[in-house]
Amino acid sequence: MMHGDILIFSLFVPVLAGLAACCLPLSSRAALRVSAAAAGLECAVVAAVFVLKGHTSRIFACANNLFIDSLSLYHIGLVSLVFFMSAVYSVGYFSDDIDRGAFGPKRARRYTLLWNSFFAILIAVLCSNNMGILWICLEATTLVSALLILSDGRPASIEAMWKYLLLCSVGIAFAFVGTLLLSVAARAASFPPEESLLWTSLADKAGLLDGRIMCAAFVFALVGFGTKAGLAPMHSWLPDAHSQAPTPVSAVFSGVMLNCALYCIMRYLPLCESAMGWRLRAHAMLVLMGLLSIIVAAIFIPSQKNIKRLLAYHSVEHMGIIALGLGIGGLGTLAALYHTFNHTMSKTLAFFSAGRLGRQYKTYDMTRITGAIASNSLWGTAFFVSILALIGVAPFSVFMSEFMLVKASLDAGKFVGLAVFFFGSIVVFVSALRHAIDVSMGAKCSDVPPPRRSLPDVALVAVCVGALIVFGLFMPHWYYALLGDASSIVEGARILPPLSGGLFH
Amino acid sequence: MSMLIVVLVVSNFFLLGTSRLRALIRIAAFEGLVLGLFPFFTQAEGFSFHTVIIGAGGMLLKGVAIPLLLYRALRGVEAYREEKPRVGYTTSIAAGIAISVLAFWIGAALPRSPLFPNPQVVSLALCLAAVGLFLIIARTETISQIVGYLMLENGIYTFGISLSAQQSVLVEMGVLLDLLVGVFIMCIVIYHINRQFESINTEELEVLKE
Repeated sequence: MMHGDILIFSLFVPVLAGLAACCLPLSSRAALRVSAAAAGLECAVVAAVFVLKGHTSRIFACANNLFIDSLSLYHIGLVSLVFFMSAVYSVGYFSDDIDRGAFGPKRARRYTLLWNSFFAILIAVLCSNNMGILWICLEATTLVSALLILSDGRPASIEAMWKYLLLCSVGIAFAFVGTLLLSVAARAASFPPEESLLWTSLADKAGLLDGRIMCAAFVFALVGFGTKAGLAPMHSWLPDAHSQAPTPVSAVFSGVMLNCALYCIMRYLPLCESAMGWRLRAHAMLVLMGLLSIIVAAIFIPSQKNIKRLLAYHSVEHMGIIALGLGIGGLGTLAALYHTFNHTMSKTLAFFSAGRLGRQYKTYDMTRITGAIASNSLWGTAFFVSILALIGVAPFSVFMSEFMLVKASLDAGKFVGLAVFFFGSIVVFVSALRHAIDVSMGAKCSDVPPPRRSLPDVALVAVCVGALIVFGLFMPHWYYALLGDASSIVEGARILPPLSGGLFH
Repeated sequence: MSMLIVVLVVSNFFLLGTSRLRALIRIAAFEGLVLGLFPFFTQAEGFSFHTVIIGAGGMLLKGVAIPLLLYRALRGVEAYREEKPRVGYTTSIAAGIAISVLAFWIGAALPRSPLFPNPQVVSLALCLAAVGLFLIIARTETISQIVGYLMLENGIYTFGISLSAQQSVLVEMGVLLDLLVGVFIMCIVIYHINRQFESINTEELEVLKE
């Protein structure tokens, strides 16, 4: 076995071990802890692979069908981190259900099996070099995660699952047309059949591909993967699915699944632009979708009553911001990738706190949740802080990535886009802050039970808030280099503007 | 091959004109079986391992396995007809005619290129995919919407076999497997929808409407 095979297969070992362990007759708590341990181990493996990879640009496995580069490793790191945090959170979140007997060993086994399968398939999406396999794995994530939404069997969650399943399956079907067109373009450019869907082969010789076919391929890929990423106007499944799934699943949906769908678009972007001679048509489509998502979020956020739906619309907004950054290109791509991490951390924290407050107040209706900080100092404060981070208050890192995005749009002369971004962000800022103040401030509710607090909860809040502040004020050199490498992959053969001497130096 | 295309276009009209759910599944199964014959006519190498896999695999899955799953899902449910379609049947057939004319006009207008050796098959693909999308939008019963999704997949499958570039067997099998699992999970949801809402009509699903 080659060095590359060992490195890439090692990424699957902890998750598959976790999957196998969950087949054993474990108690509910043990099954949840095993999943958390597997995800923790996965984080350690990703860190080790990152160190071992060093300056190697690409590592291949499985006859070049699997590979990792900086872009995929960055996303794998995010997926592992969010799955680890959510798995740790699950232990406390389901604790009451386990005590009441509502989350028995059978249900826990089903939940953890689906959870670890979802995790493994997302890693497979990010390691795929074959665009056909990438599509198959992304569709498989829809199927597995749909069952996770259903795990409590309430009417609303059944409705959410049906919408999610049908809309995402139909949407992703369009992305398959994009994949087919990709292979047509490759064969027309005389690529050997075994290389016609390999991303690395296509990327190395993307200039040879037919521009018109690649433009059509990008449109289909954007609609297909954009549906899964929750970009407007294909976002209608997202608020339902996010609000009805159990909270750890919502956190994973919002924190990483949407990013993985955008990651697929990032893989198509350089191929299509190189084939079309960098006339930036694909970038313009991304700008359009990004702005539309920001506007849709700005329209719906003010009127939200359900706390998880509010966060779901924030996801639409932030996916729009990332798409906008990618569409601007250059420094915008770097800002988009930086924003991916920032959104993931703040949204994970927001869902964690909303889930705990919802459990404590026995409702997700924001008109009935007041005085959260007084009732639950840890999660109430965490919710308030996470909303501040999400709406882009300094010094949190979301502010820095949005600031970088503004600078990129000014440099690129995208003034109309910038104006729409500012308008949408201001509406979201004001309305989300109003929601956050209504929920967090005020007197303690008398009929709310006292909170259960544990050390892992404090650690989760500390890690998320710490990461948001630290990466907002200071960017370690290795992280800057990783972001630079990843964005140069998305930027393809274009010469990047100098990344050093930017905002942080 | 032109005969097969005509048969499929005509069966599309039956699909659009029927209100009976079992008939809908039967027509979808028939279309799946007919579509499975296409690779043997369109692919240059005729009876190779690859064509047998995608042809026979497609026939087995879309003509037998998936229809059986849908029948099974219908068994425990008191639903025989599409009760409240969003678009009536006469209008649906008229829409079907418009879709077919447009699809074959686009096929005829495609520039002659070795990339699309069979423009008629591309037209058929467009026609199937558009009818599929139309069914998803125009019908309210979950079974009808699943059949619409199947038709959309059939359209994309047809588009795939109309191209000069073949996919690897691994990718073809993966796509078919995803489709099977997808329909299987949709059937599980039908069971849950029926149990919670005492109907499998999507009009009942309005808890989350904004």
